[in-house]
Amino acid sequence: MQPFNLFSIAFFSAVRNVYQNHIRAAHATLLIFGVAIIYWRVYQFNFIYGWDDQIFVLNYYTQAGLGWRNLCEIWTNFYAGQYAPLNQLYYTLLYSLFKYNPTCFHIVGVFIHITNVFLVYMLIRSILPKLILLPALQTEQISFLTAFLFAILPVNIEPVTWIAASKVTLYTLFYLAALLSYCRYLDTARAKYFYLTLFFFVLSFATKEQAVLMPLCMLLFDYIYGRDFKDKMIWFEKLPLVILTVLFGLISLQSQGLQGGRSFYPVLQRIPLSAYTLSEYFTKCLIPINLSFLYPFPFQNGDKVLWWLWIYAAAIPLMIYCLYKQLKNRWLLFGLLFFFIHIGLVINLVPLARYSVTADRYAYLSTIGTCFIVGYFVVINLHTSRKRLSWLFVFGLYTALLTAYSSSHIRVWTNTYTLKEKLKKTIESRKDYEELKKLK
Amino acid sequence: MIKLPDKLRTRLGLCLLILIILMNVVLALKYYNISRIKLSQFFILQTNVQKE
Repeated sequence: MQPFNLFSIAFFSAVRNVYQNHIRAAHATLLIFGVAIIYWRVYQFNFIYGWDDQIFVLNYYTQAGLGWRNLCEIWTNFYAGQYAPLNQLYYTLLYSLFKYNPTCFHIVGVFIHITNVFLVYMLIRSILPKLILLPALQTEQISFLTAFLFAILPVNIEPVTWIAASKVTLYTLFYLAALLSYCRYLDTARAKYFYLTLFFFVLSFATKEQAVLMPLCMLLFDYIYGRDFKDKMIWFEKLPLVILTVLFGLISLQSQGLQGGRSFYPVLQRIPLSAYTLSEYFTKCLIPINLSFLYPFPFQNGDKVLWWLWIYAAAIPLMIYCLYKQLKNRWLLFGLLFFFIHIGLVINLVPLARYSVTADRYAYLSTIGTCFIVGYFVVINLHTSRKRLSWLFVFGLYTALLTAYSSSHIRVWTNTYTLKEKLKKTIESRKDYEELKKLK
Repeated sequence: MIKLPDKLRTRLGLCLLILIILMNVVLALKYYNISRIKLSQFFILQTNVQKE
């Protein structure tokens, strides 16, 4: 055997030993490295003027400081059709510390994302042994890959780099903390973890209204933990959350109602639209292409539904029917349901006052479901398939492409001009641009 | 309802999944040319700083 071959074998075996002996430290380092390689340039970014930063970040509440009167106003008032007091408090706190320094706002945002990445890692590590029994190494690797994909996904760039979207990352932080507490409660049956779950749930809702979906997600976790749904305790436990959800739901509706005047699509139009939106979110999480800060509705309210939208409405139920048996794989079911529960509210089935048919930031929490499916699929194949090297190559290429796209896409969020330039040019280059201008 | 063999059903399901993903990829590349949007919605394209 050649000395070079001997050296390379010794080198790789030493690397493998170090990796296996310090697996968590190695994973933690790689997760931080993954975030850093994409988000390092945020220190150059500015506020996005002429878009939500100007309304939600640079406002009276932010500047009025941490005085008692301002805190009371933050917690008791709706602002711009939203109720997100904790998110406003976050801006007020950052302003008190750094004034309107965009670099500090962005860097804190990235730290929240890193925290979320670690929470995802811990959550998957907690739940995976309940889904399927795997060797410890594989459990660690699936948890790591899920968190790593979540860290580098291009779709997740919008909520991390856009300061006004911090409510998404912040609510996810509390939401994941609540789910982890709930897992701990299910493991130990100690009441303090349940109260902790409630506490984080309230914080999560005070940041963003989408947290109302938590009781549904908790039922999914009950199913994964194999709890008996005939047991009244399961439903009794959810009662405080359901009461809070109804209360929070009413608050949300009232805050949106204050905006007023927005007309909604009729139910029959919403069905094909929601089928398209659902598949669009799913595709974006797996194969992100041509991401934008705004995706206009494909047709106007009152116009005829575009024919191709009906293809989605027919193909999705048929696909679910055909793949029904595959859903008996608990890991696949968990990933898909986690994705669906958290995206269900924004697929346009429930009418919401929105300008966009989809928005990257709404998928932030849901992407954990798709990242888990990919992570599980890759690790299992790397350990069991005969074509391990091919799998390694394909996944390596996929990760490299995601990282490259993220590194390129993040520049769009540098400032207002870089953000809007692409969409402006696209619209101006349309053949019917002059005709559309007349509709103005 | 027609009962298909399991293998065929799974393959059909996978084909539909691939079709949906491919349609979305094509749409993502061509979206703004087919989307009937009114420019009035595009006040958001303005980049000037408004004074609150």
